[in-house]
Amino acid sequence: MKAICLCLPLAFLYFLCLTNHLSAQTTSQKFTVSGYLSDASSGERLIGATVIDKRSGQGTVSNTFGFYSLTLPTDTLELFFNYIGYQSQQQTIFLRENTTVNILLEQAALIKEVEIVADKYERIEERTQMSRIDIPIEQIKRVPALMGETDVLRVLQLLPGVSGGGEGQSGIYVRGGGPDQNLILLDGVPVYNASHLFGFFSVFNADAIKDVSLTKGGFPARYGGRLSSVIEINMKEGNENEFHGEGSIGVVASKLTLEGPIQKGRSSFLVSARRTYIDVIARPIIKKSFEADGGEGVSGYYFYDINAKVNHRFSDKDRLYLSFYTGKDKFYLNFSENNETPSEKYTFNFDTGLGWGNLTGAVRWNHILTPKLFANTTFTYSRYNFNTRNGVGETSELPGELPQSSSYLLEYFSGIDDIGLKLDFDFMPNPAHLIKFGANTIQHQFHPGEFYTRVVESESKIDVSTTLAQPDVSAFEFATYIEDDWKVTNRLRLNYGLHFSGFVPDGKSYFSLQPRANARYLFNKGWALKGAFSTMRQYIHLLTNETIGLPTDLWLPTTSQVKPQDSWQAALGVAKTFAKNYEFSVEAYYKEMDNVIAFKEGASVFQFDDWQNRVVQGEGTAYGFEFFVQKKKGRFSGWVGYTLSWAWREFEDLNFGNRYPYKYDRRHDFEIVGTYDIIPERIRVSATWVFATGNVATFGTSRYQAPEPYQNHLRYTFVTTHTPERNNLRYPSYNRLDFGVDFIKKKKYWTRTWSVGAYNAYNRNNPFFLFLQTDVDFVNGQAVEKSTLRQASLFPFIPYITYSFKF
Amino acid sequence: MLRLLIFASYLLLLSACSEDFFNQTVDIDPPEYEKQMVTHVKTGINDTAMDLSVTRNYGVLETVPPDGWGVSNALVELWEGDQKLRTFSPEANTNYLYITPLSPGLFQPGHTYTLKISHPEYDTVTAVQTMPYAPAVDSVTYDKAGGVNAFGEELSDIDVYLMDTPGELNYYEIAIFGEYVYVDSIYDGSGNLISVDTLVFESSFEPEGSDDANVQPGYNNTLLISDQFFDGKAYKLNARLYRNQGEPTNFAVHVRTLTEDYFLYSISALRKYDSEGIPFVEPVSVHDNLDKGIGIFGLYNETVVRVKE
Repeated sequence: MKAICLCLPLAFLYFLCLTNHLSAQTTSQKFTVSGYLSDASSGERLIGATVIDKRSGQGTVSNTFGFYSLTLPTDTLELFFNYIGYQSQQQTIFLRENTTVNILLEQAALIKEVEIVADKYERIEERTQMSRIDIPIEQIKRVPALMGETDVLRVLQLLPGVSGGGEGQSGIYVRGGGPDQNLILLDGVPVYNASHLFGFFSVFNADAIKDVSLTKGGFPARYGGRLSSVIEINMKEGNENEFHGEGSIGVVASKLTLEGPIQKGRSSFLVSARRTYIDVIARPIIKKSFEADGGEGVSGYYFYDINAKVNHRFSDKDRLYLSFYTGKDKFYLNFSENNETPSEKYTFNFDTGLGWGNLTGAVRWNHILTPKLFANTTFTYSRYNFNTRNGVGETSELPGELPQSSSYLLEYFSGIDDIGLKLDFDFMPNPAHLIKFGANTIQHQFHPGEFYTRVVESESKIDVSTTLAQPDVSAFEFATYIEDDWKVTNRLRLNYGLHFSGFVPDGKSYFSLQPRANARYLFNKGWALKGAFSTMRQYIHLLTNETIGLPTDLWLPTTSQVKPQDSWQAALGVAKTFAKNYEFSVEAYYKEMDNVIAFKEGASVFQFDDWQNRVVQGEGTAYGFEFFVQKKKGRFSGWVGYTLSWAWREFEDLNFGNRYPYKYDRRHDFEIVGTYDIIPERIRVSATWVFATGNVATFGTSRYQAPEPYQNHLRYTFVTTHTPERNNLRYPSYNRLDFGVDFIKKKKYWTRTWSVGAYNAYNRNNPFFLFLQTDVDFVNGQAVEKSTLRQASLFPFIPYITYSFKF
Repeated sequence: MLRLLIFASYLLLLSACSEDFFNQTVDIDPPEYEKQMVTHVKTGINDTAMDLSVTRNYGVLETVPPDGWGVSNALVELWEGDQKLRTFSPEANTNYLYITPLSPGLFQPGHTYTLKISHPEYDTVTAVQTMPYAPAVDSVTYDKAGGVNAFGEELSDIDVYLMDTPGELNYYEIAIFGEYVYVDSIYDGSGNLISVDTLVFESSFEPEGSDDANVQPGYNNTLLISDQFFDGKAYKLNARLYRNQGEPTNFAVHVRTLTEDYFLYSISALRKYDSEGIPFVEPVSVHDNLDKGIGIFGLYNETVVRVKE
């Protein structure tokens, strides 16, 4: 395996030289036109824009950094540059040498957009890759949101094949996979905990985001490290021509984003910040409440995010990006009480807190090595940490005596630190091939958990502190890949490749070679048949309690005892664009997962023993159908999605070894998302309706008497519940309607928008959790217990109003 | 227009403010359940009687009437193939305990037995078990000075040497009883000693936690062992006893071979018991082997070795 590891990069180089050589030999009269595609007003690079030579019919697509390269024989080229929502541009050039053509595309006037560009951007049936969905950020921002706070992950939950954890949660469960099986990349940096406010909001501030894509199957070889999905979120680069800003004041949070040129046309910056202020508003009320109870105190909760990005173009060939994100959640409660009597002065203090947050940073260097070869080097840093603190103290002072005090403190820390380096190359030898290859390494530092306790008692002169820590674990993860997007004929396109990865925790090595393939065949009437196969491996695991929203996520490595997770997935589907602008796809998929992780029966996230002894590994299976119709642009936009799916788990040590439905197994998942401009650029309405089969849970169906384990006689019993099998109870179905209306007004220097709307408009009681409630009645003097099964819901009808501005 | 919409939103909000509008908990129907008989019985090859309880289950929302758990007038029988071996009698003063005497040789290793419980109001419950062969105990040793535990407390060691039968799954249970001597002195009203009785009784001894991956805690302070990792090989169990539990001089070490069903039941039932009432704990499935009933019918064979200092 080590040999493969060393040989694969060498094979890349050989392949590269050979292809270049052949290319030079056989196409001596060919030259390359290359350059960047950017937004004319902001200079933002355009990802996935198409470049087509109308005469030869050959074309290409811009990469993640807006770079394109097209190698054609010497000739006059009629180049069309297209991007959805933008006015297309045409340029005629005579190609007799390698030529750089940088293009600035103007945003299309909304009303004309269909006729201008709709038939020219890369349609769904043209793309090789399946199981990938791109949602324009403008569309995400139009979807009505909980409390008016636009949430990227919550919008992704509205896509077929994706489900949220539970009511109000921003968790992502893709095609029967677990929450740890999603690789969430913010500017190429993994984000480990993507939620705020106990999972109700995601950490991504939509104002700072440029684009979002979700890949849930058919993974190209460049992706790795997670089994179920890759969510790529790219931050805006910042306007390099003019200074702009936008912001909003909402029910729960306010945010402000500023961007502009540092050196016009060469470098720009973007800074965006968001903070909740419930704690600030509620502080006087909470303070009064403590005072009413005879004490003093303060309590609150807030979260904030800061995104920043700077980029600078050093030359036509070199560009550097620096991006940074930090976000934190904090809950705090401090309370003190003083009781003073003639005989005693007594003080009691209580201090508790909870905090968690992410910090990510990336340095990216784009370099055009040759007109056909684009290189991106990324240095990344990512940190997630969680801490909690509980302290209690009391002081007693008696007349004529020394004060006596005691205090108890418990603190807990856990987290993960990553440092990574990535090299990615895009090589475009000719219009038929787009070859991507590269390598990456990550040095993980896991902090599985550390407890610190301190006890101080003045009377007995005790001052003892103890640190109980599970040792930090270091692990080295690396991967290398090569993939080729090959246009075999006009009808047949392939994307195939290999991903090789390795993981070296303490004293143990794991390696994996993962073949990947996507194929597309285009039929006469614009229907495309697509198929995909991919194998994936995941070396890190998430220990989390799915029943609660506490951010106690503990990321842990593969060890000699806990094996890496593996999966393979096959998908088959058809795709077509109707009426120029409606993308339609149907996909069937089948996924098998090995060594998925779960807590043992009877284990809990709040145990302090070795985590490896609390988990078991087993298998998962998921299969289903996904139906999707999307209209990305226009006066009306939105989508309809439907998923019919099954998700199973099978562990030797759980549920008697029998297969059982996964917690987020949902037979039906249906969603409609729509936005409509009643008066373009003035009034816009939007609505979302979702229907989903309820989640499953384990619930005792009856009660019986069982023998007491520590009493050796049948007469000693206790009452327990009988659970015939795991996840035997299906929650009631989930459905919800959200709506919103935006009133936009352009002022002289700025544009303001009032947004009003509601979450759960018809106040559906959606299940959050179930519980047994036991009440005692007295009948004829006898206490009689009466139990009821109750369903608790979280969010009733919640209206929102948000004021936002843009200049 | 804006004002109109805001007004309409608030109107909708206010109109919805009926008493239950924001009530976020509602009653729902519990999952259906099957009314079944429940029994738990574990019998050894050398037992002189076999007793069991027959109770019933109730839905999670049902109110259990006083004395409502027991199932009286059940017909409880023990069969071997087509031959009925025993019919159980109800125990006096209860409505749920049933007992039958066992004669030596009634249970034979390798023979299969069926427990059958019938009652007109319930489906007939059956369970089938095969009596295991006696464990091959090579020796048992006792060392009073077995070292100290993490807290500096003195421990004694009992080592059980087994020879496992190859090619089959075997399950063992080790129970350690300390033999205690109790001197009962009887005095008259004036304080004069009338008699002295010396009584010897056994009490189960709880071993310290073990690092041995083969060992798990079982019911009544026993240790459960699966031969998963030592199939067909010699195995040494080291049980460490905390001496402050008393200072017995003799120990009776019961080495048992269990049926797989009883082994699985013991582990899961104990795990469930230990997790009762703990929030956020993962659910535990309790193994059972009753057809159309809830509970367990288990058999064991046993070798008892006595050791002393």
